[in-house]
Amino acid sequence: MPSAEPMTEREFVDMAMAHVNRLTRFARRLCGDADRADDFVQETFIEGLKRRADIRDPSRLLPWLLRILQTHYLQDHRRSERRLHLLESAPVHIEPFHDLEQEILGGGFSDEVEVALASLDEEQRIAVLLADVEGFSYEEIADVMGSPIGTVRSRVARARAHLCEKLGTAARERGIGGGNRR
Amino acid sequence: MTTCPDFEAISADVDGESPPEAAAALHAHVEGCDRCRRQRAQLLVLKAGIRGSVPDHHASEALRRKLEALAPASSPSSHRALARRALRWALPAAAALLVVVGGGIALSRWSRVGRESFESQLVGDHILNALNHEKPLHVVSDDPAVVEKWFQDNVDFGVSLPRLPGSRVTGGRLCVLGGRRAALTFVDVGDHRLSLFAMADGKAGAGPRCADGVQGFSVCRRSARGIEYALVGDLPGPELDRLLADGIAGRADPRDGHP
Repeated sequence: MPSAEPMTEREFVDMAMAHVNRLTRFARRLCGDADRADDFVQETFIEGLKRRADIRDPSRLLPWLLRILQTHYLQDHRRSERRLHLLESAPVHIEPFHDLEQEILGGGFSDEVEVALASLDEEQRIAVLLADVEGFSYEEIADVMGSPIGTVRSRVARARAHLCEKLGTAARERGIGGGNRR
Repeated sequence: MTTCPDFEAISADVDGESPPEAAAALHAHVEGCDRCRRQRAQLLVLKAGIRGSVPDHHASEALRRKLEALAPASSPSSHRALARRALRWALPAAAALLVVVGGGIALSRWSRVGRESFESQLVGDHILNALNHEKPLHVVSDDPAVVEKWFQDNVDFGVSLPRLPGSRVTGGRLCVLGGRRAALTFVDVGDHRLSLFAMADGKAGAGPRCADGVQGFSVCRRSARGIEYALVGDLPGPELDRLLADGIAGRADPRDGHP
């Protein structure tokens, strides 16, 4: 439902506060640091307040806020760290790894999942977290990331391929399902 | 579908993002293909594993308080809106009176809330960071020049740290106060831990001001060369103000290289 009048500062904060836990969780997952995550959430609110006249549909406030948050995060990340470049054009080809499901389902791989997620290219990580943790559709992710849906689909797939590779390697190192690569 | 779908197609399918006609063909293939069936199952498990690997972090009370403080509890605009609504129904004279009186009350409330909120924020950050060490330092050094240099590299305003007489710097971190990025330096004066905030001056020309008894702490603020400084601690206000004034004056000394 498009908003007829720009919301007041108070209305914006009240509405945005409804999403503060999801914003915090997303920021924590992105940067891995509680203090920086709080700073990102705060910066998101501050910028949101400034730009609240741009909000056309208050029911889509969460993707709008997430977009601001991820932009801040990516700017900060690009400034502070060397960016990992992956070949986006290379075709994805990954073989299923025997026994990996049992390990993930059994919870024995939660640390490895964390490590593998942290090793992803930033855009891929954001895409897969929005898909798998936030349960967003590709259209919503495209909205948050400002990318075409096809790019989102590709990023999610590449992220998963990378995760499967990483987790497969971790499983082999643990001696799980050795030689089962098919 | 006779050939195996690519990984991207299976990945999209586990997200329910396959177009209906493609989904039917893909499912038919997966049913009869051991490799694709295992791959799809693996992706479903991976998806669940990623969801399960993310702890359900909640926003802290401190963060919630800061966010709530970004907007006044009752903003002037809502008072104006109320006044507008009242004007539709009241007699013009009564309405005019309402606007004048109501506007005055709203304005005084606004400035009081804003001032209290900012100084409370300063004290809140002092308690959180300097006393309770709830947040890690971004820069650790007892050399004020090192701390100053770190801030200069990380904020978009020229931080010049006042050298408070008889003090020892321990480090600093970045924070956000009243919507402004601030450089927070931890300073020990004797047994007293002080917080020295520096931020771009939002109200150029505002005079020095001190407040005692803000949640049991004193807060002194001064502006110099486009930077607003705030010193927070448990020393009496006049003593904090003198430290801050002397520290700022020290940096103004041409021999210091900061005219």
